[in-house]
Amino acid sequence: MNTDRIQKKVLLRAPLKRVWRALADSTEFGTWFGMRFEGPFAPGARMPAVIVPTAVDAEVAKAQKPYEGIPFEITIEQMEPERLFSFRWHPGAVEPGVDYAAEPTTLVVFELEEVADGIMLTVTESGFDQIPLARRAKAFQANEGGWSMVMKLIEQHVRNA
Amino acid sequence: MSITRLTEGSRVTRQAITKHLRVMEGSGLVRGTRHGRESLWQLDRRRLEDARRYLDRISRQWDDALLRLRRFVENPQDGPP
Repeated sequence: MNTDRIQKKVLLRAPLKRVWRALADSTEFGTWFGMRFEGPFAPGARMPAVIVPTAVDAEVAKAQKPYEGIPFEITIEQMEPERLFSFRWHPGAVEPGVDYAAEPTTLVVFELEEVADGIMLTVTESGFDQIPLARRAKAFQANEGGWSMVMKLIEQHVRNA
Repeated sequence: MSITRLTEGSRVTRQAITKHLRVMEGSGLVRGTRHGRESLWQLDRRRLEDARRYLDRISRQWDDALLRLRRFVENPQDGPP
């Protein structure tokens, strides 16, 4: 098992220009991903952001709600128009009050390829082997804590109904 | 497991193995306990499991994010006006 990278492919039935804009335009990227950036993306730029609920999926938006306003930062690496977009970030860096600056980052690469039915988009996130294990374990536990809290809320809601 | 057993039949030196084990100990993958003159090492399976689940979770987050991206670029009404 490769523990260092995650790779995903998805076929998007949309024009190349449309897909590129959804990635390279910081406002559009933020809309589907669930982040609000200050200013446009540019190669080498450090982009401060805050987590905002996505505008695309109500259910996911609800799950993102508890993290709303948490600051986040990505650093743009490469922008090759309509072909490649990449950035670095601290994966799962949503614990309030933790300074992630000194920790290693992972690299996220979006690659676009025109195919018969649309655009084949490949996303590769790599560098996980450099992330301290303690951080990985903690990120998981933090998430689990979040879930048990949600379950408790649902339980209360059902009981009061 | 002791260093002696780990190095049995291999050409790797005790020093090299010890160095690797210390690095792994630093990231929480193994634990060393002193037994007389020797250190005994054991794998921390729970930590390994956490690491694997962490990757699974990030993998699922990407699945979700890409579904949102697909809806966003394929449905004109989700795009900007």
